[in-house]
Amino acid sequence: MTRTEIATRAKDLLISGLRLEISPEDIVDADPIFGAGLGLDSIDALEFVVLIEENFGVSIPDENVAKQALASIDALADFVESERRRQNPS
Amino acid sequence: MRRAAPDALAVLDTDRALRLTRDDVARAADAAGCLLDGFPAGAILALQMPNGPDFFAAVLACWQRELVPLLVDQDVATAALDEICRGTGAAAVLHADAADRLLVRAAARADSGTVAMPAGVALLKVTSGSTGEPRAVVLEADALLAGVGQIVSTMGLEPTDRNLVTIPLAHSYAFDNVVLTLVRDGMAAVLARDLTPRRLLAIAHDAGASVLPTVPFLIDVLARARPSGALPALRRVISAGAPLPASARERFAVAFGVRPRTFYGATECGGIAFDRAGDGDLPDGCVGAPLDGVRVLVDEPDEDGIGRIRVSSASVARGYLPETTGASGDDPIRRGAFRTADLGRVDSRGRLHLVGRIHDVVNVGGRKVYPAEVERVIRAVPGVNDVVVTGVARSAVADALRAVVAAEPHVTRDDVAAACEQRLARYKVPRSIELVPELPRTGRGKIDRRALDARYPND
Repeated sequence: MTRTEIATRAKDLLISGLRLEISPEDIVDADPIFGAGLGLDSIDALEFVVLIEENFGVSIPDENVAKQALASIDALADFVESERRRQNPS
Repeated sequence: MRRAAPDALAVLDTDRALRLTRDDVARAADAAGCLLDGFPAGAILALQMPNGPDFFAAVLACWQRELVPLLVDQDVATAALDEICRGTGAAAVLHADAADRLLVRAAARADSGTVAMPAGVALLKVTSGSTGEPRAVVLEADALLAGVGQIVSTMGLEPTDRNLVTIPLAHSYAFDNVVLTLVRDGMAAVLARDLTPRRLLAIAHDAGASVLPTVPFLIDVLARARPSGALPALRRVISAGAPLPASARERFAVAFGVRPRTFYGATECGGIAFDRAGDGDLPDGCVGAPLDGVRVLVDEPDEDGIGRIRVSSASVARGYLPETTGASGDDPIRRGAFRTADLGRVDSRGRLHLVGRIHDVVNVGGRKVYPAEVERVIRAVPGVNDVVVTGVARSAVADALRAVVAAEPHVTRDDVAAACEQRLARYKVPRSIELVPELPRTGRGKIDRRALDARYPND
């Protein structure tokens, strides 16, 4: 999975999983996901944590990691890439 | 609380690395009490505090001085808090600063000044009520003790149990299940501030949490988190606040070996019913049988036995503050009984089934239809993901039913209509059926009825 594919999939999950009425182009990769523009709350954040774990096979151990990993689509792609490298060093 | 086993664990706050014995909590209550000097017995103190050891200490400090705590959610904005304080005649607000330090400030005052509650009143809980204006439910100490007794005996809780706290202590449900079980029975409270599923599971595991009073949403995310290790101490999971879908219930049961039990209650009367059997045979809408000591009555039942649920028990509140005009006869709290806003029926096994809220009834040509009953039939159609049934004005005097159905592309209008015709009385079959890919939702995941009305206006 390339970085672009990760970002695209993450946006799809965000929109379908949290039932947002926006299109993927409305989400700016570098912008904050939570606590800004999209009007998402802590319940959405927990749901998104589980969606990311379910779909990318990564593990988010606590709130601090979640805050960094889910800060933006860019941050999320970085997190998924590095977790996958850690799991499958090649 | 100090008398028995002073060294026993009372509150564990893992995220703050705090472990408090019963003696520690009693000492914290003494310290908090110093802030409360000068308030006369019966004065009302609004308590707006996050979950933490000081929450317990503040409540105990109030009770030691015969002051009456008024529980206010942490997220209630200042203007709304002021309104609640004026409406109840609260003397002050107890809150915590960013460093968890306990502070007291004056409350917004009404012209009528502060109020002194009569002896015996122990607690005020805020409720939005049917009109939407916040008001407080007045609870006596005897009602609180009766309520926690009903919960402990029905749910089979033991003093050695440890509650994992995932819900706000200021809410009626957590206050009864966590604060009162600690105060009365010494059940320890394990606080979880970080609700990230993996972190929550680690806290529960390390603390040996045995009871989890929580909400359907958290049951769903925990079950989906595919835990790596089991929770060997966990033996009772309680779900309240919203309907728990059977799929989430069974997924959790498979993941953790404990099947969540549905619990139904109200701020005005505490616990009402509980899934006592816990055998997985709980149809949608069923909330189990009445708690020990609770009598459930169905007022003015129709031909299907459906009517307004009334609850009679020793845990019913004394009344509201500001007081409602009891003379009109529609005061929901009267003489130890509480009339809920829920409609339901009791089955042959004595279990209560909820079919809707009192204001949800749609009048179709003089006959009452409960949208929830129609929704259940449509939801069972293969390929249907969700549905909302509402009444739309057909004329000045009559409504018709409209179903907005979120379904897979293969589902047709005829599929939905056929299911309704097969299982419902003719007049309960919706006149209009709209198929959509998704229902509009609010940020909190609830169905956005306003957006629905805007999209499918009355025709």
